Amino acid sequence: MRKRAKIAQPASYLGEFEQLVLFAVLRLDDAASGVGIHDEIEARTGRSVSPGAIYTTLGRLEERGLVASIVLPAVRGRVGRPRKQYQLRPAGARALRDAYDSLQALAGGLSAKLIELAKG
Amino acid sequence: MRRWLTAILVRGRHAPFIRDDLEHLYARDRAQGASVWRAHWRYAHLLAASALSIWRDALRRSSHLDGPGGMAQVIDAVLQDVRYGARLLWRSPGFTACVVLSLALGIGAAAAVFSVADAVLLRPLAANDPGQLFEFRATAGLGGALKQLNRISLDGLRALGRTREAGEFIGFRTADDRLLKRSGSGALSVRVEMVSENYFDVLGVTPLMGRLPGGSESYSGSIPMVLTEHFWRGQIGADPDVIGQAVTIGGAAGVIAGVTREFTGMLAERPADVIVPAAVASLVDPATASTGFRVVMRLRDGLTVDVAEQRLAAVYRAVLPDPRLQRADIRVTLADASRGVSDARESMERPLVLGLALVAVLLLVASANAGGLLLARFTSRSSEFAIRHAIGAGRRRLLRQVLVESVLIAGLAASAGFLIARAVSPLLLGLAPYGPTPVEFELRFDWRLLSFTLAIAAAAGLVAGGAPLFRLLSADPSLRPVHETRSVIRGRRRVTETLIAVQVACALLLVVAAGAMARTLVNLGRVDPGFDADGVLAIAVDAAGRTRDDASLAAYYLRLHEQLESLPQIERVTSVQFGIMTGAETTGTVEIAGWSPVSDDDRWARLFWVGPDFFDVLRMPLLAGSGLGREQWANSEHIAVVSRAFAEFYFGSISGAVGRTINGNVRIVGVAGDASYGTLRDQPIRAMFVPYTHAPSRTVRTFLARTSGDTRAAIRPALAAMREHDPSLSVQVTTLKDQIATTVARERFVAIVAVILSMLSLALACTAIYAAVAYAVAERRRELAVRVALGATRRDIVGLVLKDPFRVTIIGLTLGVPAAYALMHSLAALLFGVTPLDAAVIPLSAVGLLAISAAAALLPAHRAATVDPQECFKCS
Repeated sequence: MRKRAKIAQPASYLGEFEQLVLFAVLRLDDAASGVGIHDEIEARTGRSVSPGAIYTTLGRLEERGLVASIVLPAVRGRVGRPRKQYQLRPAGARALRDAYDSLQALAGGLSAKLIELAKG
Repeated sequence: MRRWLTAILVRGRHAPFIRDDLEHLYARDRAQGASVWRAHWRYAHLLAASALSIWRDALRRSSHLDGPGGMAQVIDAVLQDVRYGARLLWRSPGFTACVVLSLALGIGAAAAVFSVADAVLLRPLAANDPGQLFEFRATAGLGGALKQLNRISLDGLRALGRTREAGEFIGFRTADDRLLKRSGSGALSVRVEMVSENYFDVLGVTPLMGRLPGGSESYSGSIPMVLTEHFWRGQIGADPDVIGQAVTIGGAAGVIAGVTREFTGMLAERPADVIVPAAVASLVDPATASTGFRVVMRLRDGLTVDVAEQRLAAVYRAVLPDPRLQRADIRVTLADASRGVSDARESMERPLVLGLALVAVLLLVASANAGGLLLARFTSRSSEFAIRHAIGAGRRRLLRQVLVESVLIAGLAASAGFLIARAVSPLLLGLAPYGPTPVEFELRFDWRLLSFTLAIAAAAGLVAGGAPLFRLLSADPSLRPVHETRSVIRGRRRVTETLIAVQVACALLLVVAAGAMARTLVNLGRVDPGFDADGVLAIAVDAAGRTRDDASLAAYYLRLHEQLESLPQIERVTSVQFGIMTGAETTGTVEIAGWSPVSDDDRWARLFWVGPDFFDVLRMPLLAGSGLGREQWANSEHIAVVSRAFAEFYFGSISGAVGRTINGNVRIVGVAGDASYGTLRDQPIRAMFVPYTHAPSRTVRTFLARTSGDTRAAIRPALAAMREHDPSLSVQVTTLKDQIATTVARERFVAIVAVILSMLSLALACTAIYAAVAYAVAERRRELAVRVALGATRRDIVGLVLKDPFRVTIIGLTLGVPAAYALMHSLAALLFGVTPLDAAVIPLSAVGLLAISAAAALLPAHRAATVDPQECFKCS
């Protein structure tokens, strides 16, 4: 049996998709529902994301204490099930800021070079 | 079905929210005007992605990466099963080839038909939000005649756009066989789409390279031309330096500005190679310079199609150039253009859907066949399973092994099926049931086809692998074959027989479909169209832009007429406006003094604007009076010949019609026999034939020429003669026979597909029966030897062996007959001279199948009858 070493990750580590979801939650303020997040990511990144991916990611983030959810009662005009809405928690905001900062620290000022390289 | 599948695939704690959101997105897509197909396609895509996410999440939760029961261990164990299964399959190449081939046939056929259906019916345009795109079509009702206004001039288009009603408009037109010259390379024949300046902005097409010219640009200097991706890859060899190169197309010079991503123009059945601004249209294609553009619009958000149609009808009237039309009753129709504009799609839809249904049946046959093979192999491996069970492999482990092997086989079959589809689908599209020139919908062998292939392979693998799985679940794996009880054998035989019965039932369905369609084709071939099509050439010309006034147009046609008649291969020439058997038609009203119509429909009759000698050239019988010979035709008096149905409807008899006057001043000079003018299925219609010199000027005309000798040999000289007279004239030449053949293209398409599929299904069912009987004979060798030793005759043994396959075939046929009746009902619209309850087709097919299955069983039965008891006992 091959053994694989478990790679240590800091507790606040965020994957790329997790970052997208958290930014979408942040943008939507208090109205971050599954469909809202789906639309937000699709409209801003052009990526097609499935509700399944969104909810499982949010579930994980919730377990890590990065987002909080409330279940709203069923709304008239929609299929008669309750809806869930998500909010960013302070820990989530910190993790997202850290992730964004480190990306900026690494990527800052490289835009012109990237455009240059991509051309040719 | 949708909810059911979702309920199965979406599980776990987030399930209610995910299902709710999927449903919400689907409903929103529909509300925004997406077609049912498109909305379902997106739903399926999101559902599959959701199921995968949930599964991955569950896997991540249930296990750590390491440790007993962990993911790494599971993966290792599965890999081990894969290696073991692959080795076993490798060691029995005969079995592997048989089972993979039979599955691959089914999968390949299904994938081939799907790829054509995808190209024609399903694939959305590679533009932004294609669901909001509609083709603008309009008709004007004027004095009883209906005029099509589907093409609009560029000025009209701009005026329509300025009204800002309903949305934005673009125009396009295509030209075939234009020469594209690039500096430093040879000329290429290309199809050019000429488009209005806002085309790319409104469609939201993305460039793969370079840029796509926008609406606000003025073309000072070089004209920007855009290549489509498939042309750039296929003909330019994906040359990355193509941007900025100078090119000429026809008389237009420009530079290549960009390459589209996937997009191949608006016309789905004729993918464009190059897209150029309409500003240079007259240089690219001088022949049709005065032809208008087809119009597509992007509907404004929140506007429904009905409302938009009403608003557009009002504003369109003001845009029309012809003052006469402004008083007309204008109707606007917005037709779905989310998959591009297509004239062929409608006529191809039914045959393709039927084709999909038929391949689904073949897929079932193939799966059942593979299932039988897998079951036989599983039985022969029961000792192996018993030993593995004895040394500690749990039932779960054995199940996984069987499952992994089924997946391996399905995977191999899917790859082979994909290759079959790649080879077959272009041929299938070549048979496509539309018009005189073949359609060229772009077939793509992409992830859509791949995921479809994988999905049906998984389904087929499930059906095929289901039989051994079922056996494994229901029987005790520790039982070795030596100890197999009668009930175990009987149980296994029952599964095998069920699989064969299913194959026989499905084969019957396909044979019935093939038989019914073949009879339809034969019946249609026997129909007398009422004229003699043998030896007649149809030469369609479009003299648009030549001349506008009636007299000079008539003189122009007369010159073409004489040009044709001077050819040695041609005996006599006539002409008719739209040709016959082309689907195009003109109707006119009929008014007779002292007669009043019962319904509005009674006032209408089909109208043919014909040239001289029409009835002579087509050899149509004249039942009374005279035809339209040259002297009558040249007469300035308004005269007409009417059809028999016309005479009998309005005047009660043939003789009563001659000499009567209709529409005020038109005198009927003769009555011709009834004929089919649109399709061979036509009932006799009320038709009147009028010299075209009395018609308002029309720029399209089809000359019909009776040839002496080989008709096809006259095509080239006829084309040359027309071109010699007018080099830029748009001419299409075909034989009238071929023209008639295109009217039965739908029937021929379904017939060919059904015949091929029924042959395959028969072959599969026969091999299954053969294998089952051979297996049973081998199993019962001792018993048969005892019978022979006790005095059974050859006939007894053959009868004994044939009893089972006979019974199974009868069961299969009993299952298949009701389904076959249902199938005949759904085919009814395509059938001709064959009723769904046809006395011959179904019983004949059933008897044929019975005979074929008996033949398949006869060889092993014969071998059983020649069993030598002595040898048999010696061996055991």
